[in-house]
Amino acid sequence: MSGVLFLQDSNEQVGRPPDSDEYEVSVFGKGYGESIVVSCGHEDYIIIDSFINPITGRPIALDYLDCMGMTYTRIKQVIITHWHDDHIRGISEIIKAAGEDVGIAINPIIRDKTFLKFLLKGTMECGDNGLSEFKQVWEYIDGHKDNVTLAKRDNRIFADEENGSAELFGLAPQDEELFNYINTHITSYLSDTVTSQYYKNDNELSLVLLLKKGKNGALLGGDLQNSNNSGCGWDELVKHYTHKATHPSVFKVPHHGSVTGFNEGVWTQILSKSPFSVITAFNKNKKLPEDDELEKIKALSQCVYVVGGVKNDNDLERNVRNIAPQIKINTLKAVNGMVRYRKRMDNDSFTIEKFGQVKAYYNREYEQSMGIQA
Amino acid sequence: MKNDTITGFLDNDISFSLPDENDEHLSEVIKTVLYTGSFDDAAELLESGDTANEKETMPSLTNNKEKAKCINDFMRFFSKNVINVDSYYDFVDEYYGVVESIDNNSNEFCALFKSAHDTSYAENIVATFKIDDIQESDKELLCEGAQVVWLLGKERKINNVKGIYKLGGITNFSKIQLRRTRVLNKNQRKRVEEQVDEWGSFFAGLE
Repeated sequence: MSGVLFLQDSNEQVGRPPDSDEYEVSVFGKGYGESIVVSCGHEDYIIIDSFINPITGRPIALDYLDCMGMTYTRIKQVIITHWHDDHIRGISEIIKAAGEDVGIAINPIIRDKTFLKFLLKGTMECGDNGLSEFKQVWEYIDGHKDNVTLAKRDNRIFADEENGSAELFGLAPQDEELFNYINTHITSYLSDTVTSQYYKNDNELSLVLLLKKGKNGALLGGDLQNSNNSGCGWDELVKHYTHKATHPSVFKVPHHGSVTGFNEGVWTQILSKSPFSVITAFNKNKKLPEDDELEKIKALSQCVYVVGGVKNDNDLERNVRNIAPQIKINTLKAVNGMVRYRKRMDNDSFTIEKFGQVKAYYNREYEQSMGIQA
Repeated sequence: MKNDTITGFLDNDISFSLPDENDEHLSEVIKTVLYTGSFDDAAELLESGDTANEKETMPSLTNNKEKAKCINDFMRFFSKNVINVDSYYDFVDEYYGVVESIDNNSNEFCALFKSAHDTSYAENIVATFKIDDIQESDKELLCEGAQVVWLLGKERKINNVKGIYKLGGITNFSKIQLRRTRVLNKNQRKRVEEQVDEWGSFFAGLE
């Protein structure tokens, strides 16, 4: 399976699975799409969000497990941070592959009947479109209701106490965020003429997760953004952060490093000093991260990794120009990347590796201490 | 295939009618072409005598590109037997997208597409069209977030020359259509309400 993950012609190998006393956070990106594979130790895996690997046409997380020779039944939990297209493609395939016992953690907004109506009506009206992924998850849930949990503030989503593995907690959303969202967005949605664009603000409701082992761990910021509404967004999360002794040294930067995802309190009150920061690139209608924000995050981090990218498809652009010269077109083809962090549970040793399309920006002090050449 | 009509073979209202209902050989050829998905494979299968008639299942070609190729091959070799067709489309590709922005000043709108067939694109084909490029009846549907389908390809004319159909000239083809969503009937709306109650109770019980 070498090379399947990242580049068609590459021989890059992802190597062995983590040892049983290691935990792992692997962040995948492709320029538009985000998926995270977490191992809490003892070969148990948690998949957070999904995108389709353009090389194989399958969820990248499954390809990754294949490459390490792991069976899908090791997937214990699948988590959907929010229902945006760049986070959910292929998630139903992962759930089905993982088998009967897999846990599914979803956003608690699902409890709101207005929201439910929006989803059910949408799937019935639109047939096979962007909601089809939701529909397939829904159908699976229908037969496995006992497997479903809600992920929100301070819910412990995964733990293996017997083996002393790392634990996974939800940090957001808060209840206030749910009510606010429902009041400001969902009600208007039920008008027949509006479209899903009205629904794009649900980054306010993205799950945020904390992988925790003692004082260390990883903060996985989802797509949560700051909010002007009281009781919402990163300010509230920082205010209610209860894991006071834990300061994660790995940060999956929220919302692709956008200005609206940056919150100073996260850096000063939650994270360890100079963490490793991972940003999944976003290249749809706008390009993230923007240079100014990247500089800001670089200054606060030991190293920033921007994962995934895009390249132009000149053949297709030429083809379109020949057939329909009046149409302005820009084609950006996906290129996969991954950053993998592994840490021993009983001591401070760790590794951080990059595969495929990853740009690394080292802090100068770290660069010098590690002997890295710019 | 007693009635040798393959209406709806392409999704775009193209139909073929075959003149001789009793031409079993032709029926067999068509069936075999459809079964194998390509004329070359069908020719080999026919030569071997192992025709699609012996198979119980009919083919299910999955996209217009494959179907167009199939028809292209078929017409190239059997054009004299085809009537009631004046053109067909050889698709370069088909894209599904969402309207991202509308600029009434420049009379343009921008949409983000993904290829219907090629998963290697990060849903990241950005194209800008003139609003006048969409048909009048679709204009009322144009708004941010509207779903669009963009067909891009070549249209091949079919000319009838003394009763024999021959392939004619090729013209470029770009068509953008807005999708209409299904309107739920009374029973479907009732079913939605029931499901909301059912699922609402379930999720309300979760911690």
